[in-house]
Amino acid sequence: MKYLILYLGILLSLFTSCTERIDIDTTNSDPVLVIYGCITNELTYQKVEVSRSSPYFDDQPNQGISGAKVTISSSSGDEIWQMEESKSDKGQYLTIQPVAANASERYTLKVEYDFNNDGTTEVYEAVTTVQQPFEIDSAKINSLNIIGRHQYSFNIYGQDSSEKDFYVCKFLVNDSLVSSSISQYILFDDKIINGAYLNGLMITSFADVKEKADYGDDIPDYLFFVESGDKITIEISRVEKGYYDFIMQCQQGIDGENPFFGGPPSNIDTNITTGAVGYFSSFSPTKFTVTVP
Amino acid sequence: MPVFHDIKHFLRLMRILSFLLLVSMFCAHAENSYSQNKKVSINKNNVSLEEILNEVEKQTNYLFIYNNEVNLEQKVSVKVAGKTINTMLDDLFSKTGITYSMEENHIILYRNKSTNPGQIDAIKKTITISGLVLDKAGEPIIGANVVVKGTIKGAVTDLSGAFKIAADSKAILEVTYIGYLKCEIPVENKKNLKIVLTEDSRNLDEVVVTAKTVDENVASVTMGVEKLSIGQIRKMPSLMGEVDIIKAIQLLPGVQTSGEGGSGFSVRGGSPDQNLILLDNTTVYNASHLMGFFSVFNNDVINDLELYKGDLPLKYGGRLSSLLDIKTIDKMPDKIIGSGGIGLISSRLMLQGPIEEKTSWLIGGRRSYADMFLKLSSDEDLKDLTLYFFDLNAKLTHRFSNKDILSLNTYYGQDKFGSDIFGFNYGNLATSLTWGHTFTDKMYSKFSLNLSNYSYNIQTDIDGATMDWKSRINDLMFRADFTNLINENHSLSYGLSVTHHNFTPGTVKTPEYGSYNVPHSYALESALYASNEHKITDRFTLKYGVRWTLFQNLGKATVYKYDSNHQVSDSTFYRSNDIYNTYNTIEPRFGAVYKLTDNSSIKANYTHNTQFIQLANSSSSGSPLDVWFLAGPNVKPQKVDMGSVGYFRNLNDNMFETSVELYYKSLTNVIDFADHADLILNEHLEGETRIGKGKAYGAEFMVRKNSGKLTGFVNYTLSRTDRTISGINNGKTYLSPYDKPHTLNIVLNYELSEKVSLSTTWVYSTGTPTTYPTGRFGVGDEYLPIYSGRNEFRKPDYHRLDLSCTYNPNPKSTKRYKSEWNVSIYNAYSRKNSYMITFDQDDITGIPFAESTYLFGFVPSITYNFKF
Repeated sequence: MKYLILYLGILLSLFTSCTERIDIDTTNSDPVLVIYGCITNELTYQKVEVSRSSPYFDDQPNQGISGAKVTISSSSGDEIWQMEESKSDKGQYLTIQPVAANASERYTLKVEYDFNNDGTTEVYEAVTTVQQPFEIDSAKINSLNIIGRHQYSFNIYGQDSSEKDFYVCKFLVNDSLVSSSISQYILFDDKIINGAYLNGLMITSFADVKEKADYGDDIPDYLFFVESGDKITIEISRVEKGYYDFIMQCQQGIDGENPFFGGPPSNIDTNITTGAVGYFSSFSPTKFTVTVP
Repeated sequence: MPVFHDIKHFLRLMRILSFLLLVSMFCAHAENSYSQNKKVSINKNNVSLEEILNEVEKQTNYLFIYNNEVNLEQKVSVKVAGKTINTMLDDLFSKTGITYSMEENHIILYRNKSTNPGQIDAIKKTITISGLVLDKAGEPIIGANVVVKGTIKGAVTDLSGAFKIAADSKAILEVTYIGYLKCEIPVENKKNLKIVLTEDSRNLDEVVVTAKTVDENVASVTMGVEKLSIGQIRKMPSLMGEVDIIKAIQLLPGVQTSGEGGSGFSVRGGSPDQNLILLDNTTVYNASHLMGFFSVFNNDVINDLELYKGDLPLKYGGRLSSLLDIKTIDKMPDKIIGSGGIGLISSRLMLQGPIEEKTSWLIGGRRSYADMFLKLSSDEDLKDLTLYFFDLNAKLTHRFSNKDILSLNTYYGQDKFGSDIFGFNYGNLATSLTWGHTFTDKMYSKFSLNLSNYSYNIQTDIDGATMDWKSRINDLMFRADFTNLINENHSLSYGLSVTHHNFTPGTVKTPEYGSYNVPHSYALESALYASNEHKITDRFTLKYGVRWTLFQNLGKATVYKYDSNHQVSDSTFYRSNDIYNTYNTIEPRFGAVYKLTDNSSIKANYTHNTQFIQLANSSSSGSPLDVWFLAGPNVKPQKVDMGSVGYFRNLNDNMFETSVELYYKSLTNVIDFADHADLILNEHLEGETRIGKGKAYGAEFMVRKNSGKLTGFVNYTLSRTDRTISGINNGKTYLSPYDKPHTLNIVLNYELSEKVSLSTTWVYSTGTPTTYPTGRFGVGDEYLPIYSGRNEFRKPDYHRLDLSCTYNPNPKSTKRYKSEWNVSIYNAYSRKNSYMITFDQDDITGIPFAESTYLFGFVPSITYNFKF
């Protein structure tokens, strides 16, 4: 699907078209509390971000919120992670020591804060169930030619389960995370491949560093450049449908409307209670590294 | 049309065929020569005079014309062998009190007054007048309008140019026809008239805006209809050299575009899937090429179009907002002729010709050039890209006799886009086989079998991502339509239609993972209709009718049940051809026109329509991947009740046509889609629908100038439309994307000289309602939007000026080959009309900003058109 959009984008760019900044007038909605957290089954300082929303064109960055009480507890009750605000990053709450979430376990996030300053503390909650990791048997990199551009495709081998599966992939190039933002995650589901063995399924493609100049100034965020000898590592995880939908809606909505695909813009789903926006979910990645031929 | 004066029979044959499909029931005689010296042989004893006349008609191809004062019942005996007509008739009529005169292939009979000395002609009594309308060359003018001045009583000339009309003996008849000067002739108690019309000094093609009759604006009982001839459309400025039918209708009052350059259009606040688009009576589902920048209609093949904005003819149904009825050329040339054009984006050619005397054919094609686009890009790597579209039209018509005509029409077109590893193509096939049969001079019927097919296909051939995705719609329709002129006050039209719908929403095949299918859905949509146009008085005509539609969903199918959260709760399987759901609706229609004065009238109309199929598309612009889906147990049919009222007035002797139309529509079971609806390859698509109600209202003002050096029109439309649907926008009323409070269109054509004509178009419309973010939340270093409601804002207003100049180097040429050049500038002052507004974050500060993408700056183009 993404490729269809890429090709159509090329088609569109063939017309004598142009893009320029404009000023538009919108109204400003009231601020809401924003909570985002994605825990993993890796041993690390787990993180939750708590911030305040702003008017869309506000010229100050969104403010992190200090003084919230943030805890994550497992459903079995034996794990309670207290989280403390980072000294250096306002609004970032980290576990006091590195911890890891367990697959198939359910975790509840609880954030307590008096957002509307009325003297009573509101309680915001969300629940996630950590999905079973995906077993990746192997991966390979193919050389491709797409509309005259040389690209490297990343293909994986592994068994899809018979359940409805939703996958999120992140990539590292030479051990450094390139897909760090939500809009750079690669998503796919198993509507068409359900229950089958993924036999070299192509996940994404990378552009060739040698051709970087051909792309001009406006390189899309989701395009990464590699060359022979680079190591590409995939981090692939099954995720909950709600989180998959959240990321999909973020990716489709971040730029505004798209006249060809997608309907009128509307608010992104959330699984957090009490009127907050954002999402709380979990990620249980499996890694695999391949060297670019 | 100087070239055709040399081909006098061509003109006759062209008119004959174009008239066969209209409402008129006279026999056709399309012979090539008329001679008063033709011989006849008849041997009949004591038979009615009428029988003798029929025999003469059979043997000679003459046509007798007479009024009801001529006594055809009298018995006569005739015995002639090999006598000339004149001799025979002289003999025959001398005993019968009839005199006659011959005009080309017509023999006009008059009651001989001298045989009825007792007759008293009252000063003012109603008489039936028979007449002929001819041009200066003596050719009959078919389809000319004869109106009794000061009334709405009229008649239309038949295939021989003849008409019959009742009027009082002091009346004046007004005779009009496109391309000719109006003729007024006093009746003066004459029962037989021969009227010769003089050609208007300009070419037929140059008459800018044509109406069926010069005062149809005032007299016709149909309201909310716009007609454009191809001549008018050709004169308009074009985008990239392609003057486009859909772009032309977007200039009419009440019609909105669905986006810059787009081929979708919205009529009186309705969505683009509410327009029924017919090409020679066959449905075309996706009328656009190249993502909507061009329509599928080849100008050289099209004759004219009519857009019905509310008062859809009762014989058609199934769409709530409009009917766009496009007709291809319907001529019977007597030798091969053609026309074509070469433009920057595409070229076209049309050829038509005869096969012997009774058959004619037409072939037309158009193809775009991929190269053009690739040259616009500086990237050399794009040369592997395939990007083109083509259209093919073909027609074969055979006239068995003057009562029967059979025709086969086909349209096939495709868009292709791809490279070596990727391909995307889509297109339509529309075919019909039609038999027109004339029962009597008052009753005509048409039977046809139509096939409509729209399909698309996406293929990728990349290791690890190989797939073949297809989607298809197939409609097979049979229809029978009858027209019956009961008498001069009642004109009945009735018939039936049955359509079988076969939708394949999506099938994806992959070599590794088998195939994924969204199951077929099938339905039968049948209708019976009857309507009557009833002249109550000379000034007042009423039109009423009813259409009864039956919609049946057929298996095989798996039908899901959805709970209150729109989640699947159950499913039922039905076998092939099981009818598992039925809807039946009654759709009444009433219309009235009251003529206030000679050149003004008021009209009113009410209609109730139902729509059973709709587009699963929630974006503001259509995409070729959109899927149509049927009404069923989970999706109720959409309905509209519309009332409209209008005042029509012609000024300066019909030089100006003006009108004001007001309308109000109430929509029930309006469908929209849930937020973030998944519409692609979704077998639970119905779970994404949300139903509610809507309304639309507006006013349309139009002024047209039809003659003189400067012609054209100006229209202003006020149009509001909104929706209220539970589950969308928190149940609050929101503006529909087609809400456009103000639209102004100015289209002018100026004949600078015989060689040069100039044309300009200026359009303005209020910006489209849109949803802008009102807040933002951060995740990592990205900001995501927060919205407070749907369509609460508007994009910038749209306006644009187009200019064009047509140069005909040799307008008086009598050569067979003729050509002209057209230079157009689209968006002459380069207004950067916003195509889409998107958001991005500043690289350094991270603060969001808005960006507008506009498609077209100033776009010049040049086209060379020819005909022979």
